[in-house]
Amino acid sequence: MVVDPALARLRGTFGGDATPGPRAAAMSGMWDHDEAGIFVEALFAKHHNEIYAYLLRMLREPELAADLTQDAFIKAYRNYETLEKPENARAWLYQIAHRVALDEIRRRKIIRFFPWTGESRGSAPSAEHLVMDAHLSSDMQRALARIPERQRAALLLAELHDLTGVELAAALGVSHVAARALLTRARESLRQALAAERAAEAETEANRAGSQSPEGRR
Amino acid sequence: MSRMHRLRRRHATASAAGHAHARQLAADRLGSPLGEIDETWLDHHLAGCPACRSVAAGYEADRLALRAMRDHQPEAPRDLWARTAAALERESAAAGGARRRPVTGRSWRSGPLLGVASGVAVIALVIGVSALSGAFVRVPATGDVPGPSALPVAVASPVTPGPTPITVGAGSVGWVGTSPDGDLAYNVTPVSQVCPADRQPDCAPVADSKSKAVHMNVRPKSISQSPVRNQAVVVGTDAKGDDSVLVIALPTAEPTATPAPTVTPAATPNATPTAVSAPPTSAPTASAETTPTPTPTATAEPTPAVTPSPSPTATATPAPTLVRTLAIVSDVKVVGESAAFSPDGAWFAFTARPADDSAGPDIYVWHVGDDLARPVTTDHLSVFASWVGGLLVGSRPGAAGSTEVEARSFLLDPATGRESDLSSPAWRPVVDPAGDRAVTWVGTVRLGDDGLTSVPATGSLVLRGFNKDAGPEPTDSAETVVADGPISEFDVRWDETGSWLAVWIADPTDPGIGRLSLLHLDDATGTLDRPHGAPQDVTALPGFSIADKRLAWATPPGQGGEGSRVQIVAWTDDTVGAVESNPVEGVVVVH
Repeated sequence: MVVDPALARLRGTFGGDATPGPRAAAMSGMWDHDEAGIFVEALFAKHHNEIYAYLLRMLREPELAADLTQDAFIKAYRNYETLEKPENARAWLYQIAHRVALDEIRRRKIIRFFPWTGESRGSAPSAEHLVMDAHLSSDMQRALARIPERQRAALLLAELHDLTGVELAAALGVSHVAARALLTRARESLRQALAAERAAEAETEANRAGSQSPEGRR
Repeated sequence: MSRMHRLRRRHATASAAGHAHARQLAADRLGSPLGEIDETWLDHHLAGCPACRSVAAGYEADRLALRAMRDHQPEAPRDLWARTAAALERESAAAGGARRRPVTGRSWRSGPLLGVASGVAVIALVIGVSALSGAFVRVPATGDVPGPSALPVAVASPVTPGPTPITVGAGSVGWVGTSPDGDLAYNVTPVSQVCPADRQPDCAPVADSKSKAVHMNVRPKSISQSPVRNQAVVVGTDAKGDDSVLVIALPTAEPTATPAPTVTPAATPNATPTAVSAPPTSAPTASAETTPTPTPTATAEPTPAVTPSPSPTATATPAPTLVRTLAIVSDVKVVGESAAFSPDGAWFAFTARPADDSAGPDIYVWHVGDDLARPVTTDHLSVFASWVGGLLVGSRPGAAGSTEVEARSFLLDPATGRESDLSSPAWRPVVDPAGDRAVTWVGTVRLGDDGLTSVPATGSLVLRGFNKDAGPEPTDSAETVVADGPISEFDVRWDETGSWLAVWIADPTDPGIGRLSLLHLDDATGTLDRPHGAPQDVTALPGFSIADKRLAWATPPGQGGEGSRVQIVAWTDDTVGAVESNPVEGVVVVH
């Protein structure tokens, strides 16, 4: 694994292979939250875009994804002592982001949301927003939204964020075997969800075509 | 159930399990290679099972479609770091109350500076520079260098996500400012990362969590730190408006380990003042024979000891800390910006003249450990320029009077008072650490508006070779013009390597502000250049520090009553970056 130079620099402070890591430092009462801040700052510089992208793909709401990205880095700061080795920081960060995403999804299942309409805010969506909406509204995105969130996370992390098997397991908080099984189930779920999306889309197109034909209008 | 029926069911079950296993392996194979047995079995199964082949192909197609989403990588909002940094700072402040503060370690953006809330939206400094005339004209530039209207430093902004910060070597920048309660606070801030100067990045202000209160009865104008001791000489203005020169023991940069966060600082009378004491009747060791000379009076100023109680959180009020002060001269007006410690830290030299304007300036030296500074010239014309090893370089006009005259410079041993003239005419040569080059005013000088102190008249500020016998090399040798006149006052300082120097030139209409530039000396050619991103003609208050690959200065106070900011430019071998502090009232950079 390529370690970010900033993190590698801090590794000397926190301890790498030969010296205790942050966790050991924390246990010995030496944990320094200023250092944690520096560390998280370096993490942010290197990984904030991919964490944001992951959360956006998980939740499909740009503003929410931004808020949760912020939350993820705050939690990284708070839980800095749980990071044993700086070289695992990326997977550790994804683990935090994954939990943040799952927490949010669970919360949404409990809390009933009222639909938001852009008109109530009195602003038209920006071009960037429209592009993002179109992107998030692709059949793949809709299919991803259909499958269970843990499977969705596994697919995103493995295929779009290039986590290795070990990193995927760490990020998902499961064993390597379990992560692999989850990924396998996710592929099947996605296949079925995509098929369903395409079928629904075809049906919609057919209905639209039917309604526009002379017979349909009659 | 008949036997035939049971056989059919078993066959169906086995077949379904086989298809499921095949699909599982087909999915697995996308993530990592299968074992040889599984691979063989799967290939065999797919060859005879069109449905499973279709599913396997579907997995691959879906995977490709999924990975195609990489082409549309979402970008995080541009203000995300500003938001996150502010939240982290709040978190840091909150955590500081519950968690143990580090005894050592660099500070992070852990809090407001002297009570100014951090994380607030920072507006770009708007600094009027129109009154400043362009004088840096002949120095070749090696990159795009912003002009006076564009500060080339990173102004903290919440709207731009920060690119990867530039990591610079370890080093700190110190300054003294005024906290909201009116106390002076000394701050030493480690700066190990800066932002690229040319991208105006989102670069949060540097932290100031380790500020310590300092007590002295002057408002500092200039602070020179000893190169070898945690001690500084402060030139300031006392309550009567007179200049005073104090020696202070700087508080330690690191907070003392006081984990209890709720202890309220309580003033405690100090039964045994630990201030540097000096006999109040000490007489100056040198005095002028013919004209009144300021009488140095030793004034021990033990400040009341206060129970140190550094707060683990970044609080508005720095923890009070005992600081010892010693007035080494009084009844003078300090002249110019050139005061400096000798390289070995044994001496401090400055220029002063009587407060009652009864005479012109002389050079004063203070030997560390002595009670008083003493004048080492008595002609009331001389000014201190710089140090060459253990010898100070002074300058004086060739003749007294109000007309323009050529200036002379000399070396002076502060211990013996022995003086030797430099043969080449020069005014205030500022010699590099190796003693090989100097930036000096070449031309004439005249009496300034006070009628007592000489100032540059006609000529230029140039870089020339230097030797201890002749001083700056003669005109016909290679030289680089640093700035053309007219110049009323300048301050030039080299870094410890002699490869970098900063030049501050006072505004001709308002000497309280000036323009600062960072220059690099090409050792091979002996010429000056400006690396890309190095500050050029930026507006700066007098007094700056240049050391450890860092240049720090204070900007004039901003609009709307906002305090000055300390701007820090740091560089590596191949890049220059910048960061700044939050606003600070009455800030003076320690140099």
